[in-house]
Amino acid sequence: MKARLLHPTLPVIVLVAAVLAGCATPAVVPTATPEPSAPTATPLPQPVEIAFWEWYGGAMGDFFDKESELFHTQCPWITVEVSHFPDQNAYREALALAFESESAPDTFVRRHRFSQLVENGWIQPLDPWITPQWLAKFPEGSFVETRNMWEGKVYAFSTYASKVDRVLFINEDMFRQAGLVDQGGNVMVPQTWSDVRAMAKQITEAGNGEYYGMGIGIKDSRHLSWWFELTSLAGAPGSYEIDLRTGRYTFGTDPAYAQIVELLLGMKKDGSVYPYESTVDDSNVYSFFAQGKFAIFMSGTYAANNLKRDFPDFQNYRAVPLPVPDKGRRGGMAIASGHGDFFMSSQTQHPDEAWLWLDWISSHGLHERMVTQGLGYSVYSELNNPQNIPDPASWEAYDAITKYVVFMPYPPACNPQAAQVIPEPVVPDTGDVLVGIYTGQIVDWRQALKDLEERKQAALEAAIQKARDEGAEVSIEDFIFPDWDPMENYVTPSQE
Amino acid sequence: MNSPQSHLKKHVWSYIFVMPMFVLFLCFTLYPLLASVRYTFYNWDGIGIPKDFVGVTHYVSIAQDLLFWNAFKNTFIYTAVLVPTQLTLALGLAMVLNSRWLRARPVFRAIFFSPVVTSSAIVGIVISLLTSTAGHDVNTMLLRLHLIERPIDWLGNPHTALWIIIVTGVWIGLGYPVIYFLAALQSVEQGLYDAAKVDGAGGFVLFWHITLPLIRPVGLVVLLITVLHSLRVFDIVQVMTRGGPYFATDVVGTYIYRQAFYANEVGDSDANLGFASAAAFFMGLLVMGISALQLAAIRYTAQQRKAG
Amino acid sequence: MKAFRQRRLFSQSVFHIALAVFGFLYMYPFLWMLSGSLKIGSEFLGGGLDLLPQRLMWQNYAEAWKTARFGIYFKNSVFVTVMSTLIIVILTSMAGYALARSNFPGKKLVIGSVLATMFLPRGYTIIPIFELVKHLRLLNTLWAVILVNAATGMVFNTFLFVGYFTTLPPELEEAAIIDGANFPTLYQRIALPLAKPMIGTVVLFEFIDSWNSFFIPLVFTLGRPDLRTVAVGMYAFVGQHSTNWTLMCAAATMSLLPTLILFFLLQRLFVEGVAGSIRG
Repeated sequence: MKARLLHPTLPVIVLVAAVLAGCATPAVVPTATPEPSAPTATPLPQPVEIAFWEWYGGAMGDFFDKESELFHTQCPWITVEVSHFPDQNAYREALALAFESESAPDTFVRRHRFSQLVENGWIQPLDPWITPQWLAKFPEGSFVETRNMWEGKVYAFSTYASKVDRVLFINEDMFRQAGLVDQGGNVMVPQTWSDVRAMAKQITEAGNGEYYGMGIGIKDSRHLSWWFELTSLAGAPGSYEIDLRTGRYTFGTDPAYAQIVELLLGMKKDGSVYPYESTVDDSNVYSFFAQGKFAIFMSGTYAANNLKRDFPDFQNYRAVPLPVPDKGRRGGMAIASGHGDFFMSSQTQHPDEAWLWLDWISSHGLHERMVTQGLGYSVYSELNNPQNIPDPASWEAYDAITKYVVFMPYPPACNPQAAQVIPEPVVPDTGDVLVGIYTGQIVDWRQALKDLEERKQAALEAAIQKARDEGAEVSIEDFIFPDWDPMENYVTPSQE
Repeated sequence: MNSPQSHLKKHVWSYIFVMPMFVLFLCFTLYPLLASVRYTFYNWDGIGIPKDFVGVTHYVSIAQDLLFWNAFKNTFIYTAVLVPTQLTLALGLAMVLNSRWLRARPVFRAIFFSPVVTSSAIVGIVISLLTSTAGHDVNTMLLRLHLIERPIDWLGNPHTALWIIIVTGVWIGLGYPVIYFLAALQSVEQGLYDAAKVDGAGGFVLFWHITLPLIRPVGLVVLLITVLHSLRVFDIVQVMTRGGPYFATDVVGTYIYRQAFYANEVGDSDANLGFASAAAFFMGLLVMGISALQLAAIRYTAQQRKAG
Repeated sequence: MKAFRQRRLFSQSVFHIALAVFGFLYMYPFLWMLSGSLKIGSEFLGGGLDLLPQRLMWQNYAEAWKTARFGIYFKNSVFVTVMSTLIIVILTSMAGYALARSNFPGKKLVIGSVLATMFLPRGYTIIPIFELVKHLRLLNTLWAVILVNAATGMVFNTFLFVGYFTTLPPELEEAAIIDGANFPTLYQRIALPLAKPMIGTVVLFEFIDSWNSFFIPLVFTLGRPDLRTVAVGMYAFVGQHSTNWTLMCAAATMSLLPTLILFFLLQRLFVEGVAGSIRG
């Protein structure tokens, strides 16, 4: 090897710049002695190892293991050491301790609040490396202040498609046996909330004790609270949010919530629900479904993947969109755009290599592999197509959730100091109350919903007051957007 | 033997023997405990230095929190039922597993030890499978006998869930006191039994007058450990019901866990370790207080009996 | 006489059978874990309570070994566990003996403070211990894990030994003292050999505790993933939306083999009777 006469970092920078293009798109395979566009006669960069911490575990964890190997073939001097932490609370504490003892990973998946990462000084902006072309990869609205940007600098990028991941799964055989077929011979899909109750009842009667119409889980209160997300389709704020048109929680006042409670209690009274609700939660509901215990259940699109993996012989089911209120749809499943999941540590000794790995994660190649392996949907919506998602149930599930997606107002986009308003959780929370109502432990549920509304409202107002005490200029007005129509995307006036 | 020099020497040795344990205890048990007391006066998310001082606010809110007292009640019931049940069974089982005429003793001992090495996650899923299959059969029978109208969801019914957890707790932890009692039983010389039998003593007399007194010191430690362990129950409750439904099986462990680690509305994880530490301390002080009261009561009645 | 013998034999056999049946039911979840390790995913969740796998999926073991990185983690676990257990047994038996047998000034303080902390929680955060280990410059080493693991076993086991040593008849030691034995000799030559069953118990339970401890080995090896232990690797099977049960069972089975081996090895210490008993 020739002695290095040039400044050591120069060839690295040139090399990095040159390989940048090559690493991001796997079509170009850099060789051991790359031939960049700029002339150089430099030695290979020193082998570098960077750490990547993730808390997904399971199949996603395996995915990142394989991706780090693929990445290594493209950038052979970089080895990414992936650490899996499926215990999320341990991850939280471990990450904090790692930063404190300066053994922090170079790159990691976010579990804390984004604002916490910034306040603690754990992350660094990606601005030194990003180019206009790179930014243009992402759909509009992907970079939002206080979600992945802070004070104008970009810290992270969106990876997953913006969606509220809830669909209804139905067992076609059971529907047919109950006679829920239309003239064309197709299975009748429940369209409205009343449909759900009526069909569940009909299927249970046809089942004659062998199976039930509906599968509900109360083991995880958060899981049960998803039923309240149906209220979004009636224009109400869903399980956990305030009504952004009025700045108030509406559990006790918006009739949609009462309608859902009546739906749940009604199905229970009809006897249509699989009677072991306490053993069912989101991680096993699909297996009970595949074993033929009930005909309908609500979960996320990942349940289709679980079914495909664990019960490949079970195929006669469909994923359909969530049912709408009887009087028709008045809102969509609202989300905020712009996410940040993968970050670069401020303490990393190898920022250039860390950038290459993060860039790899943002590449079309990785996204395509993620979609085809059924691990999620990409923010690059063109990749979510039937070729990449050949399994009909999975494709149907994706189609179902994109129907209702609506972008909601995001208060900190208009006043960044609104991000400092962090309400304390209330106990019992929405899910707890719903479990209590369902089991009958709460008798006066209307009162309980009103009480929930008042408690959460008080928590929000206390949080606003606290932020003001700490110097933020924010008020409840920042959370009120009277001209937002829940059926339409909200366009923040200041968005580019 | 009682000369001042050997007396001092003996004490020197005692200090040398106790010091290593005590030093580790001071550094890694007592110090963190005292440090945690400090945290109880703050709102703190576990990162950096606690900054948000709140004084005794946490203690006050816990004392006023109905959910805490609900959890305390469930914990108390759990402990009060589990401890006598488990320890009695364990002692009986230990004596059986110690008897000379039992064949394949190591095998039987391994069998009754096995729950100890089965992870609670696996126990959780087995129990949920059991309740939905065997439990379903029981329900079918009860339905046919017209004793119930709707199948009972064993773990979801607020009246039955806690009892299932108690039974599971007795079962999963039984191996510990069995082994401790087995060890204690080894210190009882067979000769004592033989002599007593010659004098015509029967089984129960042997047990009450020879076995029990001799294993009492270890037995008391096992009792203490089992009580404290039961008061801190968390794993099996979290895995089976998470303290639900609607706090029907909530124990102090799950209460604290819920307050300590939570996901906010967007799903980001957050924590209030100041509150969690305060709740844990509050519980500890409560338990100490109750134990002290019981001890005083025992002493008082013993004194009364002596006087009377 | 023969009839009596036969009757006793009969009742004993019945008892054995009853115990075996009860034992089978008792260890059902454990058997479930063993059989689950050889099943396919759908069979585990969908096969009801059936214990027998349809096909023996031995490859689950190879895959679990690889995914949970047992190759590296196993030797770390062994080192940490053996050292922790050794330290615990030595330190707590020594302290237990001294506390049981002598009345040195300060004894009440020691017992009182240790007893008091049994009631109080050790705290919900590892940060004080973390800072301490950081000051000792032991972060990211296995010795930190060993030290902290050993420390957690100080309290209970000391009390156990105090209880056990209190039970031992003092005649043997008195005889040895007359022969001129000093404190350490009494401990080494008389107390320890008599305490074999309790030592066996402590070894067994501390081994299990240390082997399964997950958070401490994680926290003190944050910067050195190659130093992590088996318990950390086990978490590789828990995903966000579902768990890979069959592989987890396979990993769990492999993970408990050292414990089981230890259990059977220690059985010899649980033979009844005190060697060299003394009477009158």
